[in-house]
Amino acid sequence: MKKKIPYTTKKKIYGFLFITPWLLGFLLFFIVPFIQSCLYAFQDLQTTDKGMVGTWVGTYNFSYALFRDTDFIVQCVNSLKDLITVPLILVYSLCFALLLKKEYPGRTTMRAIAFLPVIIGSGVLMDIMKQDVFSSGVKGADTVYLFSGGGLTGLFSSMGLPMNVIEFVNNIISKIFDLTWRSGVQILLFLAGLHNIPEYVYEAAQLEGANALEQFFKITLPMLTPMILLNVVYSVIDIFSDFGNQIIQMIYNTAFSNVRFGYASALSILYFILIAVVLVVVYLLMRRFIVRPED
Amino acid sequence: MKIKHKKRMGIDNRRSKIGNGFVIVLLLLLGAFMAFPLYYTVIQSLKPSEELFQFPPRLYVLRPTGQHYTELLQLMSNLWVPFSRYLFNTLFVTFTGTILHVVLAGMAAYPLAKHKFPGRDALFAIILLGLMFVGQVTFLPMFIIVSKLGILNTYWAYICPSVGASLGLFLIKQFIEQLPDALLEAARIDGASEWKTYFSIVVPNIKPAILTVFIFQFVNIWNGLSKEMVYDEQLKVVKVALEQVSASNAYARMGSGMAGSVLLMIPPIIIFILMQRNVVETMTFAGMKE
Repeated sequence: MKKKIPYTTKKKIYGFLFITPWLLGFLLFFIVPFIQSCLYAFQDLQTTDKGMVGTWVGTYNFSYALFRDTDFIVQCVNSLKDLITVPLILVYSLCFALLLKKEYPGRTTMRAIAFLPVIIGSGVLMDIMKQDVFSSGVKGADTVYLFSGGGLTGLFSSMGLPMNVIEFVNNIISKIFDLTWRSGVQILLFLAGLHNIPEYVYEAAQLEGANALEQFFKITLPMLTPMILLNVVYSVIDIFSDFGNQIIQMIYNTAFSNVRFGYASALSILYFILIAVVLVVVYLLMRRFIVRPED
Repeated sequence: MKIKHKKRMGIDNRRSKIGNGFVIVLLLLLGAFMAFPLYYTVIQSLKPSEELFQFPPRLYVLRPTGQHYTELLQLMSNLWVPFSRYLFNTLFVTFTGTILHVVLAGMAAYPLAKHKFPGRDALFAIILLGLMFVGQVTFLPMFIIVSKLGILNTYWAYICPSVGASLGLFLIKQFIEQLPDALLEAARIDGASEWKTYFSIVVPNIKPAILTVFIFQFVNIWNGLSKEMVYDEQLKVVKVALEQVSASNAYARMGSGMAGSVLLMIPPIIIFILMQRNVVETMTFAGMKE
């Protein structure tokens, strides 16, 4: 008689089998590179005929980045300044999600349009548009090449507007573009969150005589807090890992143009730490506001 | 008053016509901002050269022409590697990478969401780390690993890194978690193995999530194929080829560049249209918990 394997053991075996292939990929293409890069950060790597040779230099790369490479700290501060966009993205995407939740003709089309930045985002089109259509918000929006050739600036100055007004309008337009094009995923997540709030909560509130504003602040907003946290985290990561980001460019150039792999690794790790610190601070600040529904 | 209406979204169906009108106008305005760059690129790619460099530029085209597209195709056909080769490379790599990612991530998500085993939470925390530090920051060590594995300059250099990506796993896990335990329990009582439970109960129920991840990943691989990992001209993808063409000719950048970017947008959009119904379902799926 065949020995019967208990169900729980079987379940464990299957669970293990299910996870393993993906985990292998994850180990190989995230964990190992991550550790490798930590090791490289303490070395000076030189390309020789025998391939890459590393000399152990201790924390030299780190101290160089922090104390002597003035560029790095400046760029870090600039990156932190970009975080101002996060609250704007949150408010905008929440409003948009609220608008998309309501049923009306053409809702599906609107949702598809809201999803557009996700489909095209960060692609070639994005690169081209950032140069030709609107300037990237990352570098500070001083020029908007909305139209090739003269740009918006030229168009406005030919209309006889003073320079500071032009700059102001340019800034606003480019900020709105940036906002709409950065909010695709956030809108999706908020929408899912809104659909998660049971309708009966609102019905009960209405019976008790709560008006729309009260309903929004006492039901919708608290119920959305887990999604808000998720969105803050996503937006922070999104802004920090944008290819237009100066630090990313700097790391990239250090590694591939200047071929200083060790130093580039140290920069990546410092940047890792910066992101992690920001996220921890965000989490600690937001933790007390997070509402977890009891069921 | 208007603000009040906005906040009431989805709660009150007896809204005034003014409120509805306001919402529609607002949506149209925001939608225009989102759709405009797309529209503008298409329009620019259709303009004949003399219109393209006109000032002030028009937002419509007087005499639409396909000359940039034919020009682009001519440029492409002059290359020593035929365009069809680039196209095959891109399609092969994108589809293989996407399918592998969706299948593997989906399978890994199931035990993470529904099984209890020691170290599960720790594992998930590490996966979240992977989600945070994705992209260019890990690119450098990834490059080194790819070269050490000896798959530099092969198709695998495109495909493999996407297998271990964590975004898909994260999204699918969130959806599997929402499936009622009773459903899985019922399958077990009926004698289904875990294998069978996953493929005939879990997968059909999270189809929208899987398709969403499919689109995400397709677009990611399509747009993000890193040119540093593959330097053999025979193995390059359409995106890189197009960039090379437009970089070699600054003047062509405007016309052919625009045409090229329009062409590059088409596959992701086709994939989106094919799966759009399911993606939209995903958005509302979260509401149908039980």
